[in-house]
Order: sequence, then C-alpha cells, then structure tokens
Amino acid sequence: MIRILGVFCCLFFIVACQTQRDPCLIPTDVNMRVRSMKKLTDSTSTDSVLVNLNLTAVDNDTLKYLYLGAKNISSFFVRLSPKTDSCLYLLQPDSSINSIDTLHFYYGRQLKFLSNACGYTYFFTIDSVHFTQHNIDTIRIVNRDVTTDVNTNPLEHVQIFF
Amino acid sequence: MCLFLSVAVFAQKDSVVKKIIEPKQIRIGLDISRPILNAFYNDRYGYEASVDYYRGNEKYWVLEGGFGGSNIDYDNLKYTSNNSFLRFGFEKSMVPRLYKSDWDYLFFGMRYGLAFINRSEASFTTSDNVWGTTLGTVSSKNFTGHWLEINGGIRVEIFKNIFAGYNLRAKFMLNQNPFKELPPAYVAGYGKGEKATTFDLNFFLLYALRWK
Repeated sequence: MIRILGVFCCLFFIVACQTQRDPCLIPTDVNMRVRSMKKLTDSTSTDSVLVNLNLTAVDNDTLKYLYLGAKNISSFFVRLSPKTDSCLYLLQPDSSINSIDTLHFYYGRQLKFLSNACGYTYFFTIDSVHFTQHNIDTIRIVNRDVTTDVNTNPLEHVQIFF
Repeated sequence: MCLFLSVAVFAQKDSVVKKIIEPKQIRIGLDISRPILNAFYNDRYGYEASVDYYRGNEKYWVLEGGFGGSNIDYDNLKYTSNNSFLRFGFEKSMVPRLYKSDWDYLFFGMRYGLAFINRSEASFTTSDNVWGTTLGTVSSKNFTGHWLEINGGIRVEIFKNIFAGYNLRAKFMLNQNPFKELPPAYVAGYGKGEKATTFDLNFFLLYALRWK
C-alpha cells in the first residue's frame, strides 16, 4: 500500500507541473466560402476561373482588400461583419478590365461560445445577396449557415455565376 | 474477514448465542493536494474535505464538500466564478483484512455530486482581420450542476488513526444544459465546466475516531 501511495505522489507532481492555460484547439475562423461558376446548359455548370481577382470590403468609407490580383482562382473566402447585419464588397473578376460589381450580403448574426480557451465568435445565417450585373449573371445561396464547420456539403455557401 | 470482529459469547441454558459487535469509525479528512494545485494554477482554486462512516461489512458512507472558483482574465474573455459543492455516496473495500486491526483497503465507490455555481457577468472580444474588434458582455448567472462519479482508490493507516490515501474519479455531468452558455472554466468538486466527463485525483489526509 505504501508503494502505491508513492507512485501516486509521483503522478500527482507530474500532473501539477502541467497546469498551463488550455490551448485553443478548435477552428475559430468563420469564413463564407464562395465559388465562381459558369453555366454550360440550363442544368449543368462548371467552375469559372477568375484570372485576376480583386475583392474589397467597404467598411464605412474605408476599403480593405481581401484579394488583390489573385491569379486563376475559382473559390475564395468572404468575411462577414460581426458588427452589422449586412456588409458590402466590391468584386472585380479581372483587374485588367475596369468593370466592378458590388455584392451586398444581408444576414443574421448568432453569438456562439466556442470554449473558455477559444472564447466567443459569431455565426451567420445568410438572408440574401444583392448585386450588380456588370460581370455577374446570377448568385445562388446553397448553404445559408456560415459557421466554423469546414465539412459542409456542398463546401461553398454561395455560388456566383459569371 | 471475521477475525477483526469482536465476539461476545453468552452461555444459555441449551445453546450458545454469539453477538457480533462491529467496531465503529468516523473519519474526517482534508484533500491536501488542492492547496498545492492552487499554487500552480493562477486562474482557479479549490478546497475539499471528507467525512466517512464505517457501516460494517467493509462499507463506508462518504460525505464530501468544499468550495472554489475560477478567475478568467484572458485577452478575449474575462469573468469570475465561484461555487460550493457536496458529494455523497459509498465506498466498498475490495480486499479482505489481513488481521483484526487492519484498516488499510483498496476501494471502489460511487458518488452523487451537487454544485451551487455563481458566474459573474463576462466580457468578451472577437477579432476579425477585416472588420476589427467586437466587444460584448454575457449576463451573470446562478445555477446548479449535478453529476455522478465512479471512484477508486486506497486508504492506508500511516500512523495510529492517521490515514493517507487517494481517489481517482470519473465524473459524468447529469444536467449539461445550464453549462452551454459560458460554463465556468473550473467548478470545484467537478472540474472543467465545459466537459461532460471529467477525471480527477484527490490526495486525502484523514483522522479516524473509533469506538465499539
């Protein structure tokens, strides 16, 4: 019995020496995933490669670039604002062509507790997207819930058809 | 097992009747590991004490209690919490006594735990590299937590009437709903409030009072 007590004391001090703050080990980024597409027929579509993407958030009167001259991509992230129920983006599929569309996302916000180590974040539910049609043909919302889940089916939340 | 039992023999006219007198014992103890752990952690504290009563047949009733709390002061989250708790249940020795006054034992036990928890208003921030920092608060909350425990451990009489021993515990929260909205980082008596199952160690020093 005394030996068992001794072993326990050793274990206890090992545990006591590992008492740092828990690390945040779960995903915290909440990104709306967007896929650019083009229709082949009424029922089929495929990815549309954006040759030189500029994507800019409009925060009051300030412009913040998320993508600046991004080459040959067909999917990208958009950050929704946790401060308001809508946010405005400027989308230029090819920066060599001076034609810009505006994307106005409308959504609901839900405060979400992740863990004590990771704190809080906001999840979003997309209501609608208003947009101009200089380059864009149409927009389809395929998954309204924007969370930390990166294994949704389909993967993207919004499809933009050019 | 029956060696330690005191036996009184009464002669009667045609037969012998044996009256078995079991020793009685109450033990009070303190978890001496908690003050040591409190010194290691700067965001939580807790204290635990125990009382058990030997009820015969190598079984013990156990009542445990204590208090503690947490003080979360992270960049993105700040609040305090405190709680008191009670646990009661039983322990059953799993080894036979070697001799009459052998009170050392290896045990299995169960507990029901109950904690009364107060969490202060919490302030939090979220940060976004496009939209900047968002501030917010979560209102304070008082609630209770219930859990069941499976226990194992040993007790060794290191000096006359002085015991040392440890408990290994697996704890299973019974009411998880109140813990969904900002559970305290530490609930004394249970462990991490955000976990549905926790594991814990205690190291007790106990003093025994015995009578017959």
